[in-house]
Amino acid sequence: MLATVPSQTSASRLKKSLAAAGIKSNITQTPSVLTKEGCGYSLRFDGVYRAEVERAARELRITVRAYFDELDGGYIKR
Amino acid sequence: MIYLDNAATSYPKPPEVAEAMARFAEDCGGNPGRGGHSASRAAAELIFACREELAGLFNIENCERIVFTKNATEALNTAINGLVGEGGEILISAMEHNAVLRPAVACEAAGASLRVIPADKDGRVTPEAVEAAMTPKTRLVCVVHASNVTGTLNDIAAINETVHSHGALTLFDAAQTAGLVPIDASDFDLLAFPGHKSLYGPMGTGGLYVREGLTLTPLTRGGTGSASESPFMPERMPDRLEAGTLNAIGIAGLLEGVRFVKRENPLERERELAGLLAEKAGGIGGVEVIGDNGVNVVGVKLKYMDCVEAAARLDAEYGVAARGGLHCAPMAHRSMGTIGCGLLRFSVGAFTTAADVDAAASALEAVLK
Repeated sequence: MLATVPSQTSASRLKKSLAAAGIKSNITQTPSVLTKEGCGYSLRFDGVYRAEVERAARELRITVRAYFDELDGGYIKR
Repeated sequence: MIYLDNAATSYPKPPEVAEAMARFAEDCGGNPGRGGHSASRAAAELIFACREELAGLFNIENCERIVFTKNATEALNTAINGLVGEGGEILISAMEHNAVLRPAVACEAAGASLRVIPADKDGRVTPEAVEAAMTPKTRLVCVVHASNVTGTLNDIAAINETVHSHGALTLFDAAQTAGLVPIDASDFDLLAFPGHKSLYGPMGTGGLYVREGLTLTPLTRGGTGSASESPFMPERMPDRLEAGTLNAIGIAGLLEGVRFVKRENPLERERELAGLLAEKAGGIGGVEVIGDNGVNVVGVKLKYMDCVEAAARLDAEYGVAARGGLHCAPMAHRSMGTIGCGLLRFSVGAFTTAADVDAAASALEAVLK
């Protein structure tokens, strides 16, 4: 699953917080089709941890713009 | 060489600083925040690590509020221009460096109001003096944490409270203290710092802390690797104030410098050495120590020799690097009554030894004979 975040620094903060909770994630450039304003960054993680990601983002006051499932090379907003 | 100009830039640096920079150049080399490939991501992780180390050092909760600049001067310009610009009243202390005076004067020329807070005989700016200078129109108060001329340390926590009680904003210049004196910036509005002095990073590094909720007009505009379709700078930090490619190789070095000062905590040792130097220099005929040397700086007034000539002779004849002149702080010299003669400034660092201090004091005595 992808969580689109405001900046690469936000993504790094979120990744660090998740790592502390034992959740693996990776920072990736947001695919062009998912962003209306050009370049951006997202966090890729296992969708089973979505609740934990939401909680961590809330605690860090990071606005996650959207969550996307990756399916067959496409994306579905969740 | 006996290097006693650490207030200009620290030297030598811990070896791990250069090692990290070489490692970045050889093994990484990517542009942080520009693309999604592994070299870019590796560079971004390193930038993030440095941001976090700095946030920890200054007790700042959210490292996104720290922006990297090329030095403290750029950070101060970003803050002053970004907040005051063409309007409002800015107060600056009489001990400020040209890095504050010149952008403040430029704002005044553009329509802002500029006033100066006086310092006491040691170069100290007191909360009472700040209180007395404030008016209902004051928007920003800028005070140096420690003078680069005398080393006199200001109580910026108390000044912060005074300024906030009037509803104005604070900008503190930590050019001589970041990495040396503990700083809790959690209640400050803005904190400018260099990376290449007491944080032991390379030249070309520095930063600005901007508290949550404060939005500055950017000093420079350009690519941020984010929100690319917009012709405007993004609102989000740190991107808003970080246009263009960062000095990633410098920040790689700065990261190790910050880790070094956190590990070594050099304040007491440097204060002790500065005190020893002040004592020895003060005992030489025709030498007057100016200020209270609260940090690593000892400024001395010479009665019988030009301070620039003394610095040149110390260098040429004894291999002692010290700095004579006005130290880019003419207001401070006016305030201390040394504008006509300047001062000879010695500043110790983490690698200065007591033997260096002894040798420098002996050299000064010999030069002045």
